[in-house]
Amino acid sequence: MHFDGGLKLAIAQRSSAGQKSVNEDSLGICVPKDEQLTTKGAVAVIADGVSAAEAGKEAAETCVTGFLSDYFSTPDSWSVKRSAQQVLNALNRWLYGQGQSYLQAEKGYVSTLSIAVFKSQTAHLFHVGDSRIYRLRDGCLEQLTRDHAMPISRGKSYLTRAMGLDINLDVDYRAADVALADIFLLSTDGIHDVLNSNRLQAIISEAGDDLELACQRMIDEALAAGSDDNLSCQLLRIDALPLEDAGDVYRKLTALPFPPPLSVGMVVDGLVIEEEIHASPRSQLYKVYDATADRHYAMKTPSANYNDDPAYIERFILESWVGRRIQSENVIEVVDPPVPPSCLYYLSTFVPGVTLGQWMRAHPQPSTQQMLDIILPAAKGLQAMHRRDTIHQDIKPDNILVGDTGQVKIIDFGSCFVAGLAEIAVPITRDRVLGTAQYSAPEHVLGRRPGTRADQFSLAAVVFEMLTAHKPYQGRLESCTTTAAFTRLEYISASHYNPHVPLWLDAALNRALSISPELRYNDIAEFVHDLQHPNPAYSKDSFQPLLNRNPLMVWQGVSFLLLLGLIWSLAH
Amino acid sequence: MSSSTLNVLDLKQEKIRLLHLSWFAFFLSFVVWFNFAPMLSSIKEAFDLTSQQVKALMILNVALTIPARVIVGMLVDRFGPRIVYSALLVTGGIMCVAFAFANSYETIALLRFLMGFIGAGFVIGIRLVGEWFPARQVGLAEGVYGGWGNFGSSAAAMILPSLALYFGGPDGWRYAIAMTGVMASVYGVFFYWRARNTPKGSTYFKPKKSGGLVVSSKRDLVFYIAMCVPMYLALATLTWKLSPVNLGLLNGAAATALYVVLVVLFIFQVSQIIRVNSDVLNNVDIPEMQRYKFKQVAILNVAYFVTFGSELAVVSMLPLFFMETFDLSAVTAGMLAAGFAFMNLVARPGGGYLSDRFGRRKSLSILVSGLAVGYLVLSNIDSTWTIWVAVVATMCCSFFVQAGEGAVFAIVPLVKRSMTGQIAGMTGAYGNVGAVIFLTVLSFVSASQFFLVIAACAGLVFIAVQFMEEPQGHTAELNEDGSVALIEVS
Repeated sequence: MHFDGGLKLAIAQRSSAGQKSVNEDSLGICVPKDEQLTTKGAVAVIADGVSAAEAGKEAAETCVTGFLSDYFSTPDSWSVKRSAQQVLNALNRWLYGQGQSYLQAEKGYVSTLSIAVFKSQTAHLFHVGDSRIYRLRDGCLEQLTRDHAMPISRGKSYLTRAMGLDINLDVDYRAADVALADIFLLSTDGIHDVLNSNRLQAIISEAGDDLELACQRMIDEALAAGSDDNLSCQLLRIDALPLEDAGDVYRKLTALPFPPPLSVGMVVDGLVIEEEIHASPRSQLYKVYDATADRHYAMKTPSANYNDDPAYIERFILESWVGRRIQSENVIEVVDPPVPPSCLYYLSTFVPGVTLGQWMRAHPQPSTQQMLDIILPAAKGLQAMHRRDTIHQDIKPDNILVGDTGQVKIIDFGSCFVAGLAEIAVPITRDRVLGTAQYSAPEHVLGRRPGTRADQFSLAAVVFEMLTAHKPYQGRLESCTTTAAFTRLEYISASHYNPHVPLWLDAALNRALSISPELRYNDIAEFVHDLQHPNPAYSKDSFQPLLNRNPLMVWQGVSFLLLLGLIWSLAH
Repeated sequence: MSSSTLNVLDLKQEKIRLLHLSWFAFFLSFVVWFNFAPMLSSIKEAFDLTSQQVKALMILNVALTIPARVIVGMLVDRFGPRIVYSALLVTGGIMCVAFAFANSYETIALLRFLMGFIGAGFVIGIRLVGEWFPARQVGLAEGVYGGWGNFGSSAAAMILPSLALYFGGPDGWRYAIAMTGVMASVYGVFFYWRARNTPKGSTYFKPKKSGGLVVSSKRDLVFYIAMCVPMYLALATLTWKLSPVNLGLLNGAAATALYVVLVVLFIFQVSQIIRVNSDVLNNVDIPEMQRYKFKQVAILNVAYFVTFGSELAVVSMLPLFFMETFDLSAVTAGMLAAGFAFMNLVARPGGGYLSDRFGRRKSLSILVSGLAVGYLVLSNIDSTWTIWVAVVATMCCSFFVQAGEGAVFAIVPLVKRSMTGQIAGMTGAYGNVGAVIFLTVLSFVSASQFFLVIAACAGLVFIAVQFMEEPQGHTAELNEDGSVALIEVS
């Protein structure tokens, strides 16, 4: 990837049982060598098993080994926060479950836990208990975490929060910025209870470049100062940050040249161009044939219009990156080219069929069942993307493929928002995608951060169009650019255009098409459920004013009164 | 299915329909813009004008187009091409009708000046066509758009004199011109009804901010600012021409005010240029990928100056020139003069084709030297020539002129893709600068000397073109057997 590499850390860690017979502290650092350093980051974990508990040592070890292995197994597209949260939840449940065999939970598998994840130019800190994370910058040591401990008597304290203590877990999360030469210190209470931050800072500064020495000295001094607990510390120094050099990123982006204009019969990396499926000012799509594997693929190539636009090239490269990371039978599958590519393109499986846009022209009045046969799988595909922390952002009829054999696939990841990638800083200005005006949710246009509910809106807009052959909001979404303009929009219900649309389905559409994302369904699954099952909340006739129930009578009444007024005024 | 060829008859395709809609819009804008040229003899008679006043009209007609291009470009950014194009046609049409029924020289001069706005229609269509056609077809599509649209001036020269004769009487010219205005207005409404900004359902990306070209070095920045000066000089020349010193259409105070406005505008533009180029001034390293040489832009500018500039100038003066030289009727002169712009239909797309096929610099050099020779020949035309020889000479010359325009615009997108819009805008503006300068020259010298001046300019441009570097791209190339091979270009 063009943003690979760059992050360099110097690391050191030490742990000692001290005056105790067993060491209940556990610690570990993992700096991946491959692409994961960019997508998942480098991780330092420190845990202090609670000595009052009977299995503190096991708990601490489980936390460290469990986190280090499970964190790196979460999808690349997930944000650090989401990945860590999932892993910590699972760990906590497991520890708590193990602890159930003891009479009191706090006697069981209990441990403090502090984690620092270094990704791109940010340190993501997760913390529970009384171990600590410090940052040393410009000669000033700052404690970044807050102890979750309640002092009960002099020198004694009681953990208020820890792993394995309760079935519900509150973990402090903080994203701290990282600068070159920052030193991060993770320590357990055996060290920071007896050495104050001035002392710690002095030790680190005196040791200079030798982090191992600094760790050893901290332990030695703490012991000398009378620490009676286990002593552990980790030091991480930032030696290089990624992407300081814009030129480097540009070079990587342009490592592969653009393919020339391709026409039928040409061969690229052993792939024969058979047909041009689509060409737009932004890209071209070809049907290609791989003779060695006897398979057909769809090949997407970038448009020469953008051969010096780094934002476009980045987006194009990320498209295949995203596609490769989503496995669902309802999302088009991106496949690796048979040989390493010689120019910029990517391949996906070739599914003979039409886009939903074409399908809609062929089926102007689909039945509700026909609609569901397409929308349900599409929603499944979207859910698969959402599970990967990926928002499609450009759901429209032309981006839903209806295969000849009935399978439905979501295509085109060109506008996707991927939480895990958004965390990686690059020195280029990224394009702001607005999606397709007729289908994209208002929050895109208003510049708010769109969530999964934006996809729900777009999918609902597609359903609306399928059932009614009209765009929602009379097609006026296109011309709205301000909050005021959006609130002025009038929602015309689907049953107005198509009397066959049942009331409850109409209400479900209405909710999913709410201008404000908070008013929509929490999840796309709820929306599609309400598309299939009459929601009792909607089927009952809620009270409606006379104007809505019988507008004709209202206006007839008004006219009659006016007529009376007219006669009266003429009479005088 | 699209390929590198373009089937303009395939009306089932939405984009082809759009292409026809937009070239016709451009065509009408050209008809309206140059509808006065074949009528000049009647106008001269009706208002009892001196030939100096007639030449001032010609200059006024092309002057406002220079700043108008910038304004129209900004409007398109803000409102989209569809509404801007129809608004331009409707207002242009209304002004044209007002021009047709005006009763004083001051009024027609003012209206002609305002109608310069309609000449900026080119920019809008280029943007629109760019939104609709994939990279491989867009060059050809824009060639068709530009070439067939430019043909509008030729159509005006051919049809309007006959139309005026058909209406008859001393006011025939008024009805003929008014009719083009009505047509443009009606078509403006039709265009709004039928045209769309983007293909249905295409993803919309927020357009990047434009303020000026981003250049790659301090030297280029100075060069760029220097290249902006001629645009203001052209407008200053016009002001001077109209000031009491010369024609006296403006009073002293108004002329001074205009000079001040021009200076303020220039300072504003320079400040904008410096703002977008702050990286260059602060010595921030510009990535290899984003670098380009400004001299390429400058050379294209001067090449367009001499090609499109001379075309606009010649189209304005040719009908009158033929009438006076060969003592012809307005209808015949119009017909014969139409030959000049007629070549647009094939020459402009042809120039692009030559450039694609035989190398950019070589084609442009040949075309520019061809037009130099062509204008040398035109400078020798006098009443002793047989008329048809003169017409053939103008048509040959115009082939080189318009093919040159096509060749220039074939190179524009290759200089720096991401700034094609701005480079095209600046190049187009230089075309209008050329028109203003050449027409100003014409107001001082005889037609034959006027042609000589253009020929001399073409000679200078020929030298400039030799400094142009063949544009290269970072693109894979094809082997003989059709498989793709890679050529690393840095």
